[in-house]
Amino acid sequence: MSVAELLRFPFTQYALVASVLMAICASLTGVPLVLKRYSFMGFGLSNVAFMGMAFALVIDMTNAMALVMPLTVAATILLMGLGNRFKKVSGDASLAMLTVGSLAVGHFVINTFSIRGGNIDRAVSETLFGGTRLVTLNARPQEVWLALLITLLVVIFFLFFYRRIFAVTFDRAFMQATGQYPIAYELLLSVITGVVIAMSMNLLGSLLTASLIIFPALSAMRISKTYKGVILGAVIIAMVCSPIGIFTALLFELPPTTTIIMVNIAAFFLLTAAGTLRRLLA
Amino acid sequence: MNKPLLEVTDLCIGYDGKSIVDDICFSVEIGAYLCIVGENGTGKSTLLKTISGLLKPIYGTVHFAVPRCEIGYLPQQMAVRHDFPASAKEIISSGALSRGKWYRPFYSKDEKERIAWACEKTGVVDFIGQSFSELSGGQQQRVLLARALVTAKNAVILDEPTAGLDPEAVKEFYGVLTKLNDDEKITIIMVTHDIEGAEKHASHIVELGGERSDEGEDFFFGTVGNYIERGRHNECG
Repeated sequence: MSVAELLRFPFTQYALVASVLMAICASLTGVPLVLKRYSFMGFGLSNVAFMGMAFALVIDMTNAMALVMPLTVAATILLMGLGNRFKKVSGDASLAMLTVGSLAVGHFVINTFSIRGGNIDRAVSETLFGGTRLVTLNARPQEVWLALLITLLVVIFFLFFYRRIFAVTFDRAFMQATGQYPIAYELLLSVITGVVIAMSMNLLGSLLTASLIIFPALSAMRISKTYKGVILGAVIIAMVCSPIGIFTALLFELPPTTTIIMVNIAAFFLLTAAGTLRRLLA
Repeated sequence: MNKPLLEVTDLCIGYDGKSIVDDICFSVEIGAYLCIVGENGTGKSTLLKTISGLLKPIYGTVHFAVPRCEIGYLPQQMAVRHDFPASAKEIISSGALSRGKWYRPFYSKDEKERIAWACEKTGVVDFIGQSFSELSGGQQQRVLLARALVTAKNAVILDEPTAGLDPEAVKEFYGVLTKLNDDEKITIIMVTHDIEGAEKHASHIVELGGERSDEGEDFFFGTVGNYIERGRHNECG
């Protein structure tokens, strides 16, 4: 089958739309995360989402998101917003425990209590790494509509609060000293990050979600030294890399999610080289 | 007689409920130039953070006659990431957010004028489009001063703004501050370890943990003249 033929199938279209939408969301939320030095948090939180998914599978919930989303949002708020308030364990240690712990608990729960027949290993692999073939990429129409709605909300949020997201990322002490409420924006940002990660984990798997949070932001930082440049750059890079990855995967029958990650890694090295070259020429 | 811009009454400062200095009393009038000095560990930075509302007083009060959103702030250099990808303009403009409406996505015309004015006063116009991370230490401090000035209708609070700068940049920075104080009547409240600079430029001094304080107290507050006189007196005695 040729790509053009494959594109006529609804599931290919859904996969394409879902991956681009999630690329927009994850790259936007990724920029403040990376700049606040919370790069690893994307991976930790997608593992939390995986654990939520495992519980939902075991208790056979029809709508897994009803469990996964609140769980991920709560974990994000705990790590990001309120992390420094109840500092019993250091931020770095609590993130590491959450990352490793939730992955282990999720895997343990699925393997021990799963009542559903079928291939457990494959279900686990799909939740972590996304589908191995495009057909199994987990996008159904109602989920794509939800993704579209969430993307719209995320984009509107970033447009409206763009300047304040910048301010709270750059220097929260200044905001507080000048009578503003940085904690409010941090909370909003945590909620959005949690929702995006839960949604994206469901559609694309946790590994691709974590990659979409860090790679576009870091790639953009190679070529731009202004905040606006980094935000726009990250979104554009993510939006370009996802379709390239999906088409490459279609053409050569590769696993789509990890192919998208490969494209993102390639983009990172390419833009690093471009950035270095520009500095040398300047 | 001006009414005080800032009144600090019976203030006890510290971290986690542990006090460092107590019974601090002083007031700052509009147009004053106050330097807070003291050895390392005497609590001068803690005092400044309490005044700026970043730390809660253990007891006592800090009262400003104007709302906080009209007071500029320049944080300690450690608190700012110097490799952050942002242009000088993006950073300076964010000073306007304290008084802007939360639902407005863009800066208004007035705010833009205020930003241009602050850039001109601090001499950052030449490198406004450049990335913060590519500026020199002195330029970065002037960018942060410009941001504070966009916020400040009346006063700026500065935490060790000249630490780590080369002498030329320090001189330049003091020049900008003095001009703001003289020409624009901006009140300056600054923590510094540079006592010489403080004696030369300030109008009033708060010293924590020094030998100039009255008996039974661990801080000094008075005019610069008073401060220098006490110092001489102590040397003789």
